[in-house]
Amino acid sequence: MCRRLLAGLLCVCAALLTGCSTLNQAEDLAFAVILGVDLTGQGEIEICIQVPKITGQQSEGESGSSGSSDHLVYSAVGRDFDEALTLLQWAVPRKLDLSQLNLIVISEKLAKDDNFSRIADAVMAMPRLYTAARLAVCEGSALAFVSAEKPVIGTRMSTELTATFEDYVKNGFIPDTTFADVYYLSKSVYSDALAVYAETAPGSGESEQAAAASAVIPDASSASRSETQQSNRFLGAAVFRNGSMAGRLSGEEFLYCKILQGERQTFAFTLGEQTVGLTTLGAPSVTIDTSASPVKIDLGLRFSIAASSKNASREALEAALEEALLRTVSVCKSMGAEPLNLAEIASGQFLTIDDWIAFSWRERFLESDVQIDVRVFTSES
Amino acid sequence: MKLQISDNAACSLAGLAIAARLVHGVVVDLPELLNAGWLAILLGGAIAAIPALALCALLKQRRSASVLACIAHPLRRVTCAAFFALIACDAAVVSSAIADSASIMALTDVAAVYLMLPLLAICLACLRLNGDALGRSAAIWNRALPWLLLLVIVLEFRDYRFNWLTPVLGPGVSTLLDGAVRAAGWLSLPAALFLTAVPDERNVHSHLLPLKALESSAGFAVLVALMYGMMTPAIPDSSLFSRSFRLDTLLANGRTGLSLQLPTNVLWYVSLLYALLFDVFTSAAMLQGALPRFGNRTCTVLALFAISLLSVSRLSGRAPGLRAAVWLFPCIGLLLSILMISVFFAKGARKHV
Repeated sequence: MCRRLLAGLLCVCAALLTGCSTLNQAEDLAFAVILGVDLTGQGEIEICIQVPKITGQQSEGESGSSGSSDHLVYSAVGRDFDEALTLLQWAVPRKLDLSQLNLIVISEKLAKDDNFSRIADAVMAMPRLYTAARLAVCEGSALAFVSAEKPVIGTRMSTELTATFEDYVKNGFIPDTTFADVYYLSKSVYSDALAVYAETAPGSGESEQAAAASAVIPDASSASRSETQQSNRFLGAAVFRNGSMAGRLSGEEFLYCKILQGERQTFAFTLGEQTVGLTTLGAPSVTIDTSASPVKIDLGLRFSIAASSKNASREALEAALEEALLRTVSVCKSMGAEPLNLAEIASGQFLTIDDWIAFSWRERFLESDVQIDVRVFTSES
Repeated sequence: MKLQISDNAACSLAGLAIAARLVHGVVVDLPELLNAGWLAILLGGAIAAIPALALCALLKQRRSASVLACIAHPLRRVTCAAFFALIACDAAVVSSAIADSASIMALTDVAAVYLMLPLLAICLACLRLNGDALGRSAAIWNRALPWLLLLVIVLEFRDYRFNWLTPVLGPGVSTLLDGAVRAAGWLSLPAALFLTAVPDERNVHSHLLPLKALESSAGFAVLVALMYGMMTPAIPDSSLFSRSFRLDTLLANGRTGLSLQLPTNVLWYVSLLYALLFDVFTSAAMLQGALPRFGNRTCTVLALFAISLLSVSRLSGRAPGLRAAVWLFPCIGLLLSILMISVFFAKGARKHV
């Protein structure tokens, strides 16, 4: 009798496995795929979201040129993040669901503001907000950026963004970081964080004279020299220091930064008239002498040349790569930031975190003597 | 039949429960340990090995009954009452931990009491099956748990930053020792369960099972603490030390994809449930030892009533729980010492006669 009762109770409990909250139909929810946060001229916080409409069929009136109109943009302004979000929940005529975010966009103006740290705290504290979404810093207004972001090749924004980011990360155009990555690193005792940098309109900057030796990476003027339906372009990285944006790395600078971080990368490198394909070989060897003054950092990197580029001059390539990598280190130093993951390595030489903090790694890095040794291997060597 | 459990079942239940208790205590409730939580657990394990060895010696002295059955009546009642108080307080903290976890993941707007009391009611139903059923079901979960954990490790491996485990001593020696004493206290909790355990005749070395439970729980907790340390960098900002932030970084993390949230949450909630069952069963058994005239049902209901009251009070919060944890190890050590003296004194007296 007791066992039957228990078995019956277990069956009743199993029926409750779906949860006791009210049934949520997909049409009763507003799944935001992009969240934008900006600072208004009056110092208030503006939040905007892009929500896909659930129509079941393509909207009519599309010429197939600018993407579907199946995405709605809502925005609200408040004195702080929580107030703006409350107003947004009223503006959106459904229960707002932030658990499926693909992208969080922060305007550059807000990213550079001292209040960004508090906004980031509020975003992290938000229950069921998907903090593994990518973080991008946009050049202009976040609302304009979110409104302009439309699926071009596919029909769904979520897959459009995922496919774009995967491709761009693989090619070394943007960093592979999420909002949580940037948040944790900004608060931690280690290196500084990088986020994706994005522009709203095609770059109107002057076409820069190509250097004699450089990686073949798009730059700000590339958009005007290429035909695309995309109005938002993701390229390069925003560097964060002490919880706010310190500066920006161009596409080429970010590529070198990624290589210095030890990430595997294949890229094209122009040397004079020739373009060679290069691939990193293994992680860089890093030696940091924290007892020296200034701190001495020795980096050893190895590359292999693609089979089709065998005739390139190895010595010239090594010299050009060393110069390019050192230039990137100088750019980072000029911003007062260290996004090269060197802090994690240097911290291993200290016993406690208090000792490490007292060492003041960032100040020491800015004055450090960095030497880079590049070896390029061909198939014959 | 009284509330009782065999040695092997006690080992399975205690090993799993204390591993979950340690992970919650060290990773969630002791954020000041930063990236060195795993070291505090290791040190705690070394400290807790002393009472564990004493317990093994005690278990070796019994014959067919539990250790408590061999102890004189007045001393048994006092010891059981003391253990009941300690374990009931710990049960309240675990109940609060489950409520906080549920609140973070899904039920943000639900009052804590509605998250705690239904679970305690389920414990009432489980305790009717007695200790061996609990222990054997824990043994089944112990077989599935490593595979789930392996899945999490394999999917997260690419995101692990081994350098985030340095500096090795993290917050410093004094903070580490503070954490180690608390970890030792949690690792000593199974002593109460083993005192009520009856020997398993099939296992000749069943008196060594407390050490085995200690090793498995400390080993599992060290592994999880290492994984956490490699997924979340050391953040010395004390404003981020809240339980909700730590639970969020443990269960959702933000650095890994959505696919891992299901296995992580299954691992977490099931393990915490066994931690609660361990605490509830042990406190009910201790209450029965202190009040031997009461039956299983009465002791279970009384124990759950006491735990429910403690759960909804402020004593189940993070700060009171941590303050009490400092005293767990010395209290359990003292009780075991008294029991050892009593058992060996009685044995000596019998030989003399």
